[in-house]
Amino acid sequence: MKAVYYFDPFYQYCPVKKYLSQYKSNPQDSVGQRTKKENLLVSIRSKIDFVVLNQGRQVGSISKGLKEYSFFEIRTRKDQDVLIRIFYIRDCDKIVFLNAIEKSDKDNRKKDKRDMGAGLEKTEKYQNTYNKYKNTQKCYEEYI
Amino acid sequence: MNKNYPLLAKAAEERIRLAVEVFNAREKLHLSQQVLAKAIGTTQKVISRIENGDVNVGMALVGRISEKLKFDSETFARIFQRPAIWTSVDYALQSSEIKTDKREVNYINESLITYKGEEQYETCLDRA
Repeated sequence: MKAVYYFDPFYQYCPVKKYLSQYKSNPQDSVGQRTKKENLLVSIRSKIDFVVLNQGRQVGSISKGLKEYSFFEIRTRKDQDVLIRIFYIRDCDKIVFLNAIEKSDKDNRKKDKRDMGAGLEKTEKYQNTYNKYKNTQKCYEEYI
Repeated sequence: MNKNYPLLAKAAEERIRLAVEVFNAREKLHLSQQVLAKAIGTTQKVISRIENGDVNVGMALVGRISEKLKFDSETFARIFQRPAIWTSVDYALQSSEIKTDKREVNYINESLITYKGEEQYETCLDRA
């Protein structure tokens, strides 16, 4: 099985790739910031590798299926209070990373809940687009 | 590639393997995260983070978790990806019954192992 990023044919970008690119280290970053970014990217990468190794199946708490949706998620903690949720689906020999969103532990506010709901709906939209166009055009980009 | 990458990746992989082992053992014993946390003197949040592979866990906490979840040498071997024979010998060497550097330890696989300082193990089969 191989991991790929979902490529949106309308907006011409990969949501997960775009999200992860913000953690690329810049020359302006301090040593602390660079270390934090490196740790986070390595942690995400290790989890993705582990999920690929297990053919995208739900294993322990590393990857989980969502109750109301047909996709899975990988959770990684960014800060004390912020969690990164990366959503993916399994498609034949591919694990397609659809979307990534951040969730605050303090999401008691109505706005936070609404944002999370909107993020999940967007992911479902990506999934539908992928399923609709996967046979006619390339809706993914290689994960490196 | 970053020069720290192999080390960071190894640590992350170990965290993930520990996470899976803790989750599986806890489920097998029908314990909730809350109950396990209380039993080992920590919080549910910490258990959740361990099971997500998000934190580096100290030796003391690993010890308490392994005691409660009844980890054996095979489990540690899976986590640290070392042969079970090594983890058994390491454990035996750390026990208080063994005091000198050069000693013989009876291993559960019925082979005799001689410890000759750091990371030098010799089995009966090697000597034969």
